[in-house]
Amino acid sequence: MNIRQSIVALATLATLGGCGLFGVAEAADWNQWGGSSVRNNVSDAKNIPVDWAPGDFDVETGAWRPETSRNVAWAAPLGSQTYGNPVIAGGKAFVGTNNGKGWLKRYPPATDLGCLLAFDIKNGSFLWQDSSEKLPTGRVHDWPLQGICCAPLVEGDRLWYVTSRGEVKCLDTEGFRDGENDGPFSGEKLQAEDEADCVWVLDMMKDLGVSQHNMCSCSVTSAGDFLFVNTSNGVDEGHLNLPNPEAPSFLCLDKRDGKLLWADGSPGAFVLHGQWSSPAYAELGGVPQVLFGGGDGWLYAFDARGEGSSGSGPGRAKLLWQFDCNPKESKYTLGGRADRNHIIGTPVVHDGLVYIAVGEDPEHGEGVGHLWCIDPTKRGDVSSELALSLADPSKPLPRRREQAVIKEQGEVSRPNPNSAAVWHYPGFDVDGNGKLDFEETMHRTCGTVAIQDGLLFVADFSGLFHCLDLKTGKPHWTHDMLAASWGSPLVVDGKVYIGDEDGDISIFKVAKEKELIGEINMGNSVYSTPIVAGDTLYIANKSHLFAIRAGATPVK
Amino acid sequence: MRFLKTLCVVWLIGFTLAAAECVGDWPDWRGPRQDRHYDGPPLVTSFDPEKGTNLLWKNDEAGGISTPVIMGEKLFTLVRHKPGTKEEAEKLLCLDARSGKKLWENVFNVYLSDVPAERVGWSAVVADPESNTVFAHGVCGAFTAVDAATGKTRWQRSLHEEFGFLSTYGGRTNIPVVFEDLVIASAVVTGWGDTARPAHRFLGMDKATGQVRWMNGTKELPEDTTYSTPSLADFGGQAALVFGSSDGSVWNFQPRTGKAVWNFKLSRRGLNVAPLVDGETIFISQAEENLDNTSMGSVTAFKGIGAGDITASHAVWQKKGVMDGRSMPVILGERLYCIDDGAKVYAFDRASGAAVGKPVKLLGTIVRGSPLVADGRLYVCSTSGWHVIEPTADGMKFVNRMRLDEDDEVTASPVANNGLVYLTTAARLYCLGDKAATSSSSASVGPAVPQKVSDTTKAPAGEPAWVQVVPAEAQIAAGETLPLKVRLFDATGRFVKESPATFSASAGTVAENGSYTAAAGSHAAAIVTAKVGNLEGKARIRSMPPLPWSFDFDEVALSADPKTGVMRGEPPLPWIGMRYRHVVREVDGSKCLVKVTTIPKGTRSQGWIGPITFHDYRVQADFRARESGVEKPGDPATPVAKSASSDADAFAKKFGNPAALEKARMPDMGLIAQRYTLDMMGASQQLQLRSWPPQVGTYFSKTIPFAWEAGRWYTMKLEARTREGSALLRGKVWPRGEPEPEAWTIEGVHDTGNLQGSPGFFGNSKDSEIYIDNVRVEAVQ
Repeated sequence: MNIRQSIVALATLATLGGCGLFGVAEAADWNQWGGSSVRNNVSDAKNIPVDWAPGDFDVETGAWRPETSRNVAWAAPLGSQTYGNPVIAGGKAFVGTNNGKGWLKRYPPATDLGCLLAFDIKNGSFLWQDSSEKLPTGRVHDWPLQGICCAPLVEGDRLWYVTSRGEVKCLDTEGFRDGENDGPFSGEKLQAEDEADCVWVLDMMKDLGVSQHNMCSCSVTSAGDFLFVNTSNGVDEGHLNLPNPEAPSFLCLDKRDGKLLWADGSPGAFVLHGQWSSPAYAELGGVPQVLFGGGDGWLYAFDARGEGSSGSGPGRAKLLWQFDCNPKESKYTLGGRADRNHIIGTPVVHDGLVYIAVGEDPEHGEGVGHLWCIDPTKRGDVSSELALSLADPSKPLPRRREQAVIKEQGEVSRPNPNSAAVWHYPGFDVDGNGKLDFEETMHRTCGTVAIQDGLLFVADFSGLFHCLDLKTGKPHWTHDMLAASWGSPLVVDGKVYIGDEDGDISIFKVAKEKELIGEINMGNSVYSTPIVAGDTLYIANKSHLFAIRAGATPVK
Repeated sequence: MRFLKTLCVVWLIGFTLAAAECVGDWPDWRGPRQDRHYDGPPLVTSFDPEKGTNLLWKNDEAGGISTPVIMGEKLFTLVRHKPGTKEEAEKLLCLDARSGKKLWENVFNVYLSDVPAERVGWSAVVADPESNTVFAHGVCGAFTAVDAATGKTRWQRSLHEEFGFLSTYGGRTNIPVVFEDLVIASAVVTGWGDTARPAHRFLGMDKATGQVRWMNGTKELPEDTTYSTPSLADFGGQAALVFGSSDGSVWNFQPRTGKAVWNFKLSRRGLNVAPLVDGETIFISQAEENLDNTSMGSVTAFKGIGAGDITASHAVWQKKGVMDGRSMPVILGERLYCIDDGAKVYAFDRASGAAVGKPVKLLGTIVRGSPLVADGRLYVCSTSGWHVIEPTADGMKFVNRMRLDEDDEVTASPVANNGLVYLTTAARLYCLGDKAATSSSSASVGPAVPQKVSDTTKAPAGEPAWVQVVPAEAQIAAGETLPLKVRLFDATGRFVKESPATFSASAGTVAENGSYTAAAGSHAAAIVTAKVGNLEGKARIRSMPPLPWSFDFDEVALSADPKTGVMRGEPPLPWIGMRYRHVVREVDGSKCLVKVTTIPKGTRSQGWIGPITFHDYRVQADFRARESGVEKPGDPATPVAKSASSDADAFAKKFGNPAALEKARMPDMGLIAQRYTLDMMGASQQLQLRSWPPQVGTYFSKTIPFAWEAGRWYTMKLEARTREGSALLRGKVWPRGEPEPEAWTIEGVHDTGNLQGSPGFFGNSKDSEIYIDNVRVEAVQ
């Protein structure tokens, strides 16, 4: 299929049902990050537990002691650090982690790898592993021991994900257990039952000149045969220059064979650090739009179909709109005092609007952030402000990496008449004392919002959990978890679940009044986001994936 | 003064501690006993930065990330100098500890380092009352001994140029310690000869002169750079230097000799927390992978006695899962308190490790500093909160806690002296105290308290068991004579005596009296062996002739690499940071230096080939980048599945042509002269003149567009001159074989210039090899 055929297929899908159909898996499945391409982490499941005990672990061996658990069906051992969110599809759980467990004999635990693991959700038994050996260039591209840092996308018997080596891979969800070596790629040296069956692979470093900073972390999504990928192209060891600012940041591939359909490198040399956001897809204003968060702090929307296809060759990216998620006078520096950030969370589409917040590498500390609600039907630069020079206020200033407006140089920010900002939440001065106190501030976040019943939930890296009015962006309440949250909330059955670095899962009622229903510690840090598939809640802490179900009898 | 003295007397009666401790110094960031304990007049537990409650003074210039020390009523700290300006540097700042007024500053440039300005002052200084000297380990590797009275430099070494100390973007810089007549510093080192492969290595230097007494390291090829401050201890009469190492183990080196005594394995990653030594027990925490399962983090108590690997035999207790990777554990009463990286406070029974109560959450989510123990309480800061915590029967409770402003991000640890708390934040340094109690008093004067040194570890010494040759590491001129001294120590590291020895040298000559003379006219590195009875000790001495120099590598012997069969030789032995990362191979019909792509880490690095005292010289060399080519099927560098659908063509249509991929993989390569780099940048096709790479936007640098190609030889020349405190830099690049252009390609004047420094090389060979040939160094008038 060439790009034109793909576009026809996509248009057909759009006609059939719009964004709501894309990527929505069977009720028993949770097939991608955020549950679907609109990324709103909300489930319609019922009777999900609010009370469970993850159980104890043997101090010496690390083995789970199921008899000490409650409402836990199984706990599957992962590596020592787990940042990839679980996905459930076709009776299997898939999760990215490192090789701390050493599931494959050929790779003992002391061998550092990126690991994508597949488990049987009936009992948590291990099925197969896709292994990514560490890049020899080290932490600038592939941080030690942090493994696979994304969630895969699963449709039918195909799985797509981005490896820690900067590759986009398509795997057979059955591995070699179906007795087949699916291709076009068929050169796997090892075809044992516990090894992964690769269908195709695109090496973004070698084939596209990408130089990801520290890691790749994009959780891909799809629309029809389109597969959308953020390449994570970023700065080099010196943290100033991009080895290849011309390399693409955003890709659209044919998900069947990995062929490049279109690509865009918009952030280019303006990338502040890395690019660790994931795309969302939806039909918005009648146009199929794919939304990419940039490493420059801008949100970019493209026509998913691209344009200018020559038939068999790739087309061009078609940028629809772009939105600067930072105030123009904010400045990027290293550390917590910097107020210019980039985008790590994922844009969420709900009821025709887009929601996105800014953040920073957690190693850079806490800091202030911003959350936006954006109208995606406008075109062009739809930022809330424009950067202008007083000397010539008729045209915007050229883009800059670290600071858009420098007052000392006679520059100012002015409201953009073409602004698509519906509302902006930098925090809210609840007590009216003229400043944003800590508890009133939206801080940097790696997280993504979840929306239901006119309420929006988001956690920030400073440990605040915010509940906002969806229409106005004003807070109903905040809660200080006193621990950093790297993850995102899950809304299910009238409750909202959020994990934190202390390993606590806080559970609140979905309501305008704060009601903390429970706080359950998972034993070690929860950097991931809870998900629900079927009647089961899945939560990964650093070392285990827990399947939590009301009345479950643990499988030993 | 009268009031404070009175207060001290009253307090002493109540607590029956030594008078020296009442008015003593805080010479080490951990306090006089290296345990974070303060003993003195009571401290305030709260303050209000806005209203000024309990705020005696604040000093914005002293804000930063370094923990201050106090000696003789002077406060010393490491900070940024003129942040964000062309004159930015690092400086040792001295304030009057009572008034906060600046007394003096000692400024030194940051050069040839990837450390960004925001991480300047990562280390903390250490003050030595005995010599009235303050020692500062700058982020780039500049190590300075400063007269505490005047701020004048007593001596300075350039640890990265001279020994190969790594200085990285992360900024992790070790904090020196003083022991007797030594000052001891460390880093991951990629040096020469036996130290060419990276390892966490320590230098024991004569604190009066900087002369190297010993150098030793832990396991090679560590995963991380680290910054665990060593603790000095006395184990059964044996002096000990206990530290967490980059290799994931806690080690004990004899501080006088550098001899490794024991090690205790904790993690496969590096250790950053300073160990707490209490009698024979060592408490240390870490937040990386444990060795035996998938859990991370631990707090461990073990006995610091024995020898060799004591991991299995000397553990007292261990609590896995506690993620304290930055904050030093402290003892209060019978409990050990640890604060994890996510801002939770844990209490354990210090003897058994049993948890006492539940962990308590601080305000904020990040902790980088360590608690201060004072008045039976813990003073603890997260990056965004201030807390005072008091033990209770079943746990702990807050006496006070307060959110700090965003500007007041806390990375340093609070310290105390004479009833005052000093709190460093990113924006300023606060001095906190009871205004009423201090308003009628002036500074108290007390005897200086030397750092903890146990006399029992000094004498009487036993039989000689260790030979130390001093200087252990040196660099001299070719033909120059260097007297060597031999010092004997017993098995427990006690100094016995100086001794005659039988000397031999691998190069040059050595007289019976230990005078070593380097070979004249050549670049050499010698191992000088001193034999005393059956004991041997060694010194390592590099020597270089006067300029001009020239290297064409044609005389380097090649042999087959045992793994690949490729014929290759070694770069000159005396060069720092070169052998592990470079080989000599034949390229284009001539032997040349090759910066390889295959070493684990270190493909972006620099190396030095001469003395740091050089100035006003030019360095020239031929460079070629290996053309890497767009990925080809079957390339051995691709160990995993090959792409089934290379989209190079598609990419080319969108982004240019296949040359774009080639360009993206081109290396950066360049010359170093007098602490400046002239860099041919491949991917960005620029020529850049700089000294401090991350600060090229604000600090001295020149960058011009410069088109060049892989696969082609170029000649590069960099000239550095000094003019009344400024450095004049000029560089040119031209295709090799073509006439040298008359005009300089790039020029710059650095007003606050580097006025000396070794010639060297810079290279980033991540994706393609760099070839270097026909190196010339010559003086300019």
